[in-house]
Amino acid sequence: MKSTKYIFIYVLASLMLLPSCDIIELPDTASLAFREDLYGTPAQPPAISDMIQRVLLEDFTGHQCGNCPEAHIVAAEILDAHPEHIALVAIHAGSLAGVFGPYTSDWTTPEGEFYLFSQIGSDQLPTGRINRVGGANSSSNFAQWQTQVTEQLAEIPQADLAISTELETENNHVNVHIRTKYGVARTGNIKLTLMFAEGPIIAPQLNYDADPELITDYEHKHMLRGTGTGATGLVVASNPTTNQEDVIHYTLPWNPTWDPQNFELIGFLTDGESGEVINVRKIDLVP
Amino acid sequence: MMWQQYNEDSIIGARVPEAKSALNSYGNITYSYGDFTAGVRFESYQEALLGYPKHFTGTGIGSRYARYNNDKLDITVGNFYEQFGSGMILRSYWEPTLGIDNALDGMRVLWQPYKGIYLKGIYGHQRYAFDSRLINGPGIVRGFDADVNITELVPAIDTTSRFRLTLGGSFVSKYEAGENIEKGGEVFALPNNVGAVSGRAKIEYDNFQLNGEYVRKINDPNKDNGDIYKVGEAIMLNFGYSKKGLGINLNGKMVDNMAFRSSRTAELFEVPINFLPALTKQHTYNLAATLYPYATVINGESGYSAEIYYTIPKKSILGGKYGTNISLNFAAVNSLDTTQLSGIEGLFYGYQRNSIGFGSTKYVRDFNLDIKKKVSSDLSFGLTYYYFEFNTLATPVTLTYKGLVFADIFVGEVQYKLNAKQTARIELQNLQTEQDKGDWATVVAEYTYSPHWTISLIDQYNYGNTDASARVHYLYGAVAYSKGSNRITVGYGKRREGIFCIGGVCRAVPASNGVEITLSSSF
Repeated sequence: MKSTKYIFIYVLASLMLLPSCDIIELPDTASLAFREDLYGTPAQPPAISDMIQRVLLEDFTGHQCGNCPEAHIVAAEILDAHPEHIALVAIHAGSLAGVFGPYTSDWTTPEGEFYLFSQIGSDQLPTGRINRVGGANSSSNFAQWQTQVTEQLAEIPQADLAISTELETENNHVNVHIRTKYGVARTGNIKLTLMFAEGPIIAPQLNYDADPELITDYEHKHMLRGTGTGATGLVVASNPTTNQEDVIHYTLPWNPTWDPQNFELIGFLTDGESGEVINVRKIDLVP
Repeated sequence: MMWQQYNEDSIIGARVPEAKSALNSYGNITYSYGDFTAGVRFESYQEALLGYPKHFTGTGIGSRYARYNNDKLDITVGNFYEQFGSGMILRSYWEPTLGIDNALDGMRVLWQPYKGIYLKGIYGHQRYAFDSRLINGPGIVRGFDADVNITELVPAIDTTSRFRLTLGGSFVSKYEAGENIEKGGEVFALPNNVGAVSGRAKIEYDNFQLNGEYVRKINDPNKDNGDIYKVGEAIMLNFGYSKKGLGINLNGKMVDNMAFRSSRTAELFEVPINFLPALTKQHTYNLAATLYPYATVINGESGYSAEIYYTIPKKSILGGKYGTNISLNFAAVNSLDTTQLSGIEGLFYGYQRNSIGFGSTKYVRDFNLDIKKKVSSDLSFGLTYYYFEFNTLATPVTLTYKGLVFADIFVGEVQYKLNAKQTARIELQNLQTEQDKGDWATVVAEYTYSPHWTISLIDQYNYGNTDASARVHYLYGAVAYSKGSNRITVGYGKRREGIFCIGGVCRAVPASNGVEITLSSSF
């Protein structure tokens, strides 16, 4: 009997050890090529007639961040003022985005954590980036966002992009067609990043301006749920020349548990070295 | 305790630290009462000896533990050392002369539920540094090990059979918090829990012995492997045969991406979980041991070795009155047979291994022949020859040459007992190579006046250096006094820059010129 007890203890200890492995699979960005075998000749993305400068606003937030709803309001006001020229994405990341108590859902993404911890190098919320001006490591307080957005919108566009999509639910794919056009010649690599943003999502949020501070049915908007191209994007051009125009087609995996009606696809071009956003485009995933 | 005083010596490149001297000292205090044992180790580095690994400073307690041990159960809390199998999956040990101490700090349970079954469980942090106190690394190491000695387990086999079998297996996992890493524009999640499993077997039949171990580690991006996610593997096989006057050992080993530490940013001697022994023989004669000592390339290597010991019988023509001992040893190690992957697979996995055999890069060839002969009760001599092909890019033992060094080393040793109390010993060594620093000669002379006194003198001379100013005599003399378990050694002279190895683990030692005092005592 005594031995049985010991065996039980050791078996228990062994079982505690067995789950101690995190096997990481190779990300599927290696196979983004358009699946002509399934979908035939790809559709053409819309033409780009006049290039327009737009702005990517990345709002870093977390459901346990009581000051973040104030930043959400600023971001929403900016979007309302320029609905066609602003791509807003709310990136849940950092310790205040952790699962705790009533905040039972994990809204973080590996890409979002990479942006906050590895690029910005901070765990402080709220914070944000406006077209990643100053480079991918830069960030700004929401009090500065309006000014920075105004400055960025006034810039002469150096490149533009147009996007169209088809959702292929049978195979859990999204076909994405992107046209890029460069207004001026550039040196170095140009990268394209595609983000999936979802909203509204009803879930708890701490808000220090509310009473009670815990809002159980907060409406989260434009929430980053993943990228199709990896956090820092894929190289789509090297040393592009003036008026160079390229068309790219991808077949991205689609998470069948997501409701496509709630999704936006945000595509943006960045400087391959500094990470600054050159231009951005958003579309509803389902027109 | 070792105290060293430093003098400036621009010819050999010896530098003087600001404190002009250094002290490494240790004191173990152990208390036992029945089945209970407790102990502490005081450590003092004021400052640490030059060349000693960083992270050692100040005075304080570097180890403490309490242990209960009876016939069946052995429980330790605090610091402890442990090894699973050959150590390729887990080995924690203390080697103060190298500056290695990866003691675990937590809990260990050893249990023998039945005769022939041995179980181990460990859980703890690893020692990382010492700054007037023990400082552990961030990772947690968990492990479980089982050894089943079939022969002991089945009494019928135990008493009647010449066949003996032991089976064993281990599981070790480390936990270290982490988020993501970015490589070439891709973001990869870091594995916070990295596990490794091993299986081993040892079979003995009459004079034959065969044992082997296989270790497999899941994705473990770390500083050693350039943050790749490839699976790590290690295989070791050993065949042995021995009878009176003859011993044969054949070994094969393959190591692939097996750096395993409890911190993914650690390097060198910092928090290693496992130990990968070198296949080459651990040489003892000065030139062979310190100029080109081989250490396992933990990111990957494949090799084999063979060793034969033979004693020419007494009263034969060549054996004489006392017999003659001959040992012949050869080891060959190359890079792995791999193909570099490209694109995202290259970023993620790095490479793929095509076989367990040799890759194209030669790491080491080590052939040595050793003859020891006792001529009379007073006189004995030894002759040793070494041939090395040594890749200094794989094992960077020198800064002055990158590539293959081809070296021949000849050693002659004579020991003569002058009378019942006095013994003299002389070694003459010569290394010839056209690469690196060129030819060397070493003379060692030792005089022992039993039972207490030993006087020794060593002169290393780099007479073949192409730089005439570097043709220096490194002369070092020492006097040692021993009594019981106490020993004090006082030495003075020049030490050349070199590599100091124990068990295939090496550290660089800077050139020095000065007085050294070493004291060891137990009571």
